[in-house]
Amino acid sequence: MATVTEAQRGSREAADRLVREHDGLVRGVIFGVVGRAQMVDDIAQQVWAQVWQRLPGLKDPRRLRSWLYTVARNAAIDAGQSARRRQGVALDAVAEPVRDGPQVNPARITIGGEVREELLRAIEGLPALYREPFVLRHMEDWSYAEIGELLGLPVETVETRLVRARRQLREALRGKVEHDGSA
Amino acid sequence: MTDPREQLERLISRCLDGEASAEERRDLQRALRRNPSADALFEEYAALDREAGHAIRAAVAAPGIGPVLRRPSIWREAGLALAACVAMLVWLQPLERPSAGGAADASRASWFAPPPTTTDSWTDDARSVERLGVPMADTDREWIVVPGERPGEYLVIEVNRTRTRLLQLRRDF
Repeated sequence: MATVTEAQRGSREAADRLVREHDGLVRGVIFGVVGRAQMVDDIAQQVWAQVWQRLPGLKDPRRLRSWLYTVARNAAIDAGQSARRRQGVALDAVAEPVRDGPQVNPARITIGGEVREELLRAIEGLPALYREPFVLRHMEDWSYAEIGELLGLPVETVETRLVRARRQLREALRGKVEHDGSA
Repeated sequence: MTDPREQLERLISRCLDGEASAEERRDLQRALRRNPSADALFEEYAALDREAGHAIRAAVAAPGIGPVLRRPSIWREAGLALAACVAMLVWLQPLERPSAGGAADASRASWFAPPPTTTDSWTDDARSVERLGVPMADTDREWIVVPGERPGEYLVIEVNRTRTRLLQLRRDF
């Protein structure tokens, strides 16, 4: 909180600390909303410019995290809409699940480099309402309660969305994970 | 009633997220021992989860370097301020009014600039440099964010730009 107050008074060092501490959150929120990793850098820069400009207006420094979330989310939504208009494509498209894959055996699972790339694409292809909590969970290691508080959702809803996100990812990658049979 | 498969997936998800109680973890352990396909499902979800975390962090985060709002050096700030000042002077320079007789009179080349003198124009410009320390009223604040040399680094420049309202124009009539 002292850092926020110092940054509000114009301390560059404090602003620097703020960025260090919260850049992960900002980037996670952006990725969760737009679902395009290559867009994250540009939007994050816009977000930090807005934060720098509007920080003096933040009345309660204890609300920094939810305030940052709102700024980042709005910037990501705007950028996503602009990109959609430019490209004429749905950024929020649902990944097409791959069906009729091989049966899963009880074994340790390894995932190769190419599959990692496909996994990222599958995460990008998740509907935003599943992707947002999923990314926050994995970027920030937040609890259901923390995610729910930030997204304004009941804990049960967060849990359900995470279950569905995992299920969709599994379906999207079915048949592409390897079992080494060592278990 | 919830589908047993869905119940299992929910339990796995809770365990992977560290949200399961001790009793739920024991229940899952028993289910995995009893049912090989449940065990396979758990392994698959665990692997996907682990890799998803790596994939997201690698794709989204600036690798290995914390983001930094770099403090601009005093020389850089002074240079930017000087450039802004010179740009403002150039911008404030009025357009040349076409002469009716065709012969350009040097003393009327500008609507409101003082007649050109024989002194070095650089010394005239230099006077404007004194304005650097003068707080400018009636300005618009803007911020320019320049990406730094490394990913995650930003240079934020605060600019006080004079508003595009020229009182001098009115005095000309």
